[in-house]
Amino acid sequence: MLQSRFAKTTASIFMIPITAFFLVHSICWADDRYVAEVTGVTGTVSLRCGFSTSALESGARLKSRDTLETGPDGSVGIIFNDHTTLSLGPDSKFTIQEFIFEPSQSKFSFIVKLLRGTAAYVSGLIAKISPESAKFITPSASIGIRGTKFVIHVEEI
Amino acid sequence: MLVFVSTLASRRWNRCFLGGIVLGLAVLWGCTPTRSYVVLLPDTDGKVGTLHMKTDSGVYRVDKPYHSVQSEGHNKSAVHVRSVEKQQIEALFGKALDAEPDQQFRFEVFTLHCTKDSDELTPASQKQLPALITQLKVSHPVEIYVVGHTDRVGTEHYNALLSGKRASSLKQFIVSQGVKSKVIAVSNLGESKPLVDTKDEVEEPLNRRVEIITKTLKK
Repeated sequence: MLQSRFAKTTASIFMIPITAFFLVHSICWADDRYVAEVTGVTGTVSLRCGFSTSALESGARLKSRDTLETGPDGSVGIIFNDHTTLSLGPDSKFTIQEFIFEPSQSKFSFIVKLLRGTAAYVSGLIAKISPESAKFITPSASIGIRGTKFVIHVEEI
Repeated sequence: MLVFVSTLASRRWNRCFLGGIVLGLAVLWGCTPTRSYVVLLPDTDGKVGTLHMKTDSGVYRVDKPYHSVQSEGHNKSAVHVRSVEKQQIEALFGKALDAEPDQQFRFEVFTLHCTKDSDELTPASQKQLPALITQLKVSHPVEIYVVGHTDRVGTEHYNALLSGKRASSLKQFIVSQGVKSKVIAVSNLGESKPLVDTKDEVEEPLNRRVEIITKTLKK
């Protein structure tokens, strides 16, 4: 009786971190579909998904919720499935928050976030088909896009 | 760990320690003020679009090339729209621009208008149709997206159906004129993406439309 209760308590104590671990990781695994491809990498560029970090190489594919970080010598080019192109300069941190391109279901969403550094953006199909569905977010602003090219810089002050 | 430290430290130190944690968390959560600076550029074809920067203090529109908009801080955003020298762009964004992937495709948007509560084109749009068909046949798009829209009269559900009808009717016509059906995708966006913002149940002829977006290989 006492032993089984002890076992139960121990089990539940161990289950909490294990469940938490899988919950955090499932955020990363939830959507397996690739939404973008890396076309060119210069210097140090790393990819973070959940807790895991790896060096990013040219030709790698990206998913929603992936975070990219470039080092002081780093830069990277990305082509999304709707042909939106994006490139990051040195010391930048960037996240793909949501990417949905499903014309037959009339579902379109492009939400990315630049946390620091520099980026160049050129619209693809989502911004042409459904303009208000394309958004570029920074810590201090949200940019709505209607078929265009722009550069953006985010820095701490 | 926290409990251990709390019992060791005096009450004052305890408060300091907790304050430190709160401050640390605030920094971790991104409370440091930041500045965001955006410059609109012409694309490789020289075309310039528009962008809207939304901050705590309002919405700012940029539609001229080499014009910038900047927002600062968290609560009190200072926003300026001004023109920028090309050398400044190169100095700050040179590395990011060098990493830009090549543009393989060109996109074009054509808009045709429909009559009220119907999938028929307006007389003006019907006149534009032959030239559009010729263009579609000559430019050989890899993909064609036909997207229906409505104004805000009627329910969202009804307008989703109406916009679908507008898009499929136009697709049918394009196919009957000899454009391959397999390159065409149809979407219906109902009243959700108006060209002109209106209140609900307001008639707006400009919002009753079908947009055709073509994707062609760049030479």
